[in-house]
Amino acid sequence: MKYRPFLYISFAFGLGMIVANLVRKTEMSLVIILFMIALLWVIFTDHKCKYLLLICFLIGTVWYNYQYFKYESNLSVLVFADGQNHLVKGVLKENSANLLDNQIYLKPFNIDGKKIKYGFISLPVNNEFQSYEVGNIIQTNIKIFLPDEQANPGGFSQRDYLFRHNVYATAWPTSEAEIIGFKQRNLPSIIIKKRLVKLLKKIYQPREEKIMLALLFAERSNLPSDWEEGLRASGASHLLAISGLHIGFLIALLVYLLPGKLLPVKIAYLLITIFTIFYMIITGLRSSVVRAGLLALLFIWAPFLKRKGDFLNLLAITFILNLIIQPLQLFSIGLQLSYLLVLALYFLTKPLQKYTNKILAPSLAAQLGSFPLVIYYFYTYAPVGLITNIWVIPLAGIIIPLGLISIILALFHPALAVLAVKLVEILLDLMGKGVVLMTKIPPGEMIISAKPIWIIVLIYIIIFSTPYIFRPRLIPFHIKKQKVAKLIYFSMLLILLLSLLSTRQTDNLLKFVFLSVGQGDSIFIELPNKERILVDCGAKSENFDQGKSTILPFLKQAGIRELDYLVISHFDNDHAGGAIALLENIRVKRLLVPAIKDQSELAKATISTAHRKETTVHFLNEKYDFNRGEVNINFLHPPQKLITLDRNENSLVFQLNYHNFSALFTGDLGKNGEKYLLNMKKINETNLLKIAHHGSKNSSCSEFLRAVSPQIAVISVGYNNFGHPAKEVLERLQGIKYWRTDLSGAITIKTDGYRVKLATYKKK
Amino acid sequence: MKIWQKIIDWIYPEQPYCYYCGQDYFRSEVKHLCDNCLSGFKFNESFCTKCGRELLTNGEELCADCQADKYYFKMARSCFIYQGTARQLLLRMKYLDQPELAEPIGDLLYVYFCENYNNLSIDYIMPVPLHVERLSMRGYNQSLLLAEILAKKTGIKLVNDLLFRDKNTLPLFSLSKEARQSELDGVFRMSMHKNYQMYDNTNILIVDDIYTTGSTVNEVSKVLQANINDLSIYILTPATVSLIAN
Repeated sequence: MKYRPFLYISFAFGLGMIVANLVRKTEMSLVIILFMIALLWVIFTDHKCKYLLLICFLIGTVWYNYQYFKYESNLSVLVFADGQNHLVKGVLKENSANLLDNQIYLKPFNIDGKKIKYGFISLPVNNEFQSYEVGNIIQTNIKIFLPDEQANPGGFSQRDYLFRHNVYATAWPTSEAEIIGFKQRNLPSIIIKKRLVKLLKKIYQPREEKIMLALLFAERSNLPSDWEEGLRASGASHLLAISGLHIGFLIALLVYLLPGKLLPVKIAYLLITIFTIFYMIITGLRSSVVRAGLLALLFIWAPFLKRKGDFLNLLAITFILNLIIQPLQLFSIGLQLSYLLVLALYFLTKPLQKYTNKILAPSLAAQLGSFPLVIYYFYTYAPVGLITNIWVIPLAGIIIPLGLISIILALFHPALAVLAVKLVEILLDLMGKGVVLMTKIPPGEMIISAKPIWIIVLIYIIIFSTPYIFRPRLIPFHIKKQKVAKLIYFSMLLILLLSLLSTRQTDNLLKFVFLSVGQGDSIFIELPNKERILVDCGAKSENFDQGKSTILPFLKQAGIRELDYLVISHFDNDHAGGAIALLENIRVKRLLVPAIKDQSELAKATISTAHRKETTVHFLNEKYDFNRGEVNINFLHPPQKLITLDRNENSLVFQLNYHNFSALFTGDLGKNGEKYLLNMKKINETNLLKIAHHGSKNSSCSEFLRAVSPQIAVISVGYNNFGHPAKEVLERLQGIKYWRTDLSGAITIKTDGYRVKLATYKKK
Repeated sequence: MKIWQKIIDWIYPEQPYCYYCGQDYFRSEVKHLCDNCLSGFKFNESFCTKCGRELLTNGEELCADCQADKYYFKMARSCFIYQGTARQLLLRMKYLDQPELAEPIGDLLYVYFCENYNNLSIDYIMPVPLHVERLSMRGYNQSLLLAEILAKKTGIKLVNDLLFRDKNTLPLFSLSKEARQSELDGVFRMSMHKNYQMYDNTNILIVDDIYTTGSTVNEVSKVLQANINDLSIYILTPATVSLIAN
């Protein structure tokens, strides 16, 4: 406490927020938590400053709950986030961290005549909003939505993400906006940043410009996707977050450039301070920027105050400030990774140098600090990052300052920057090639199934306690105690290893997961022999690919590295849109498609991707019937002699039989197809039915439903303009228990062939 | 301005440094003593179970002295051997007016207290008193400094007014064992106004700086035992004299 007061304070503050979060998010009762606090209180009973720490802890809990108080209050935007049209008055703002992401933010004062105090609304920048300046007070009609919450295992919660940035709702404009006032001009930092961005555009090629935007200003929204993937797969995506690396380069550059002998040192340092703060503001005060920038400044100013900075104490100060600025970022990967990484570098680099060498040690420390968190959030880990970072960091150390120099030169005249720009472009090319090379090194990006949080915490405890446990001791009594500590350490290690190795269970369960992929189908099936089938893969739109963003993370969190069968019921976007991303990113052994001549672009592109990836493509119709272990898969449709050319009506339909259990998958089959199946006597009673065509009124006729008479029906459906699921279908389903993926999230059904268990991802 | 100073103090707090060599350190086993200096210490590893002194031959339980003599205390323990860095450290604390060095030594004493005396339910901690003249000359009693630190860390009551040192003895290290005995005769006296009964049936830990032959602490114990009923006395000192060097 005496030597690092803020370390303890930040710990108490953060702990307060974590405990408040546990009380809110889990079933852990307040009583248990109060008991734990009492326990801590007794342990720290001799501590002089326990009252101060308790106060900080309580401030943490209050600060956390205040965010939810705002969110849930009567004056919150949330009250109107109901998908309906509202008349909103408010001021337009921009997020200086993300100027180019095609989003603009509305801070409403007033919705439908009611006063609003808390929360922002995020709006897409489209034609309606292009002509308005930030700072305009506008009045407009918009449809306000509650952002999507997480609906699938491994999925992403847009609601939580936006809430962490104080954005409570998203919206679509439904009318022209009317300017009714002017509140404030743009912040000078945003104006300057916009100028710099323009300048960058002027002097760089379009591709390099986008990469430099990401590298210099963390504007990632336009980063070429091959770069984004390449950096991630090679373990170097930290370059895209402004961190100590950037701030360090910036300050080193300024120290080098500023004529120290001409300017008084104090003024030079003042200039450095101003530059750093400016850089922090234009990159949007992200947690990693605040951490790195503030830490650097605190260290720089220490000598002027005739003091010495203690790394942990100063780091703790930046942590507290981060939590004050954006409290809920504590629960984001950005902040967590940023602090864990820097702590790992601080604690582990030196001990590691003893066993490796000076070059490898920091990279290894960074890997140790980041890999558990990366596994927790992304279910993957790229061990090649260890090698990548050895060369990518020095290279970035040239590119980033050179990039800054090119901008500074271009401020005077673009022609001055030509040389620097050329050099940067060459180096970027080198970096791009190197990154691609790295991704080719085996084992590549490893898929690791979802791990519970306690395993992650245990791994971190083991990693960070290692140097402490093995530090040589001098006092005999301490040596004795160290032996006990080592015993505990190794038993923790054993527990960890056992829990990691004992994940494989053998059961005889047939498992279905109906993923919630918006308006579209995607059903994952695991057979009792552990073969995996995916039926359809959701839609791909301009800015969202269900295959990449929903299905792949789902497969990764389940630890699935390859699919045995990918079934495409038919080549409509809402069934096959995500197929290409899947074929590209995961090994698929066989692709099963309906045996019809489909000339659509999507069908051609998908099949050619399959050929390129050495996936065998099978064209199936009603005559196919095969057994996998104890499971029989019987294809009922399309007919051998096609009746129609309509894509929906030629959907692949198949029945899956396992002991007493059967399930019927119908794609987008319509009435005519159903009649055909009934006429051909292919339909018998089935336990589980996937309702055809998202519950369209032109499918699931009463006769068909009667013939199938399922115990469980599932409708894969999302927000749409077709009126799915149709009222008529829901009426016909009366007496049958049905679930909807839009309301329940992912629906998991498990059976041993006799008994059936169902669980939904969203609990309500 | 004062608040500003306070804020600066919190942002840039004083850094720990080694009181012996003056260097900043990153981490250390004992506060205010860096691991480098601590590595110059020789810790007592095979020792007599009674008086805690280094054993010359392994495998024995009691040293030659303890086999021959009877003591008035139950057991004695020391942290390290009085040689090298440790000796310099103690000398500086005692004679070179560096009382702050008592802090790392007190911390070390606490470690040994935890190891040896933690479950003996010690009731009082008592330093070996210094003669008034010596006290006024030196300005502090090094044993009291150590006892104070130990009392604070353990939360055990410190007793400093039970005994007096009547006679200003010669420096004992120059004398033989027999000469010490005679020099020490009648040196310590119980304080007159004390009610000794409250100490009946208690455990007292006596803190001194060096354990040489045990004559001093034994004399203290003798006086205490003569005046208080059912007293158990334990000894803890930072240093013990190496028998090998003598």
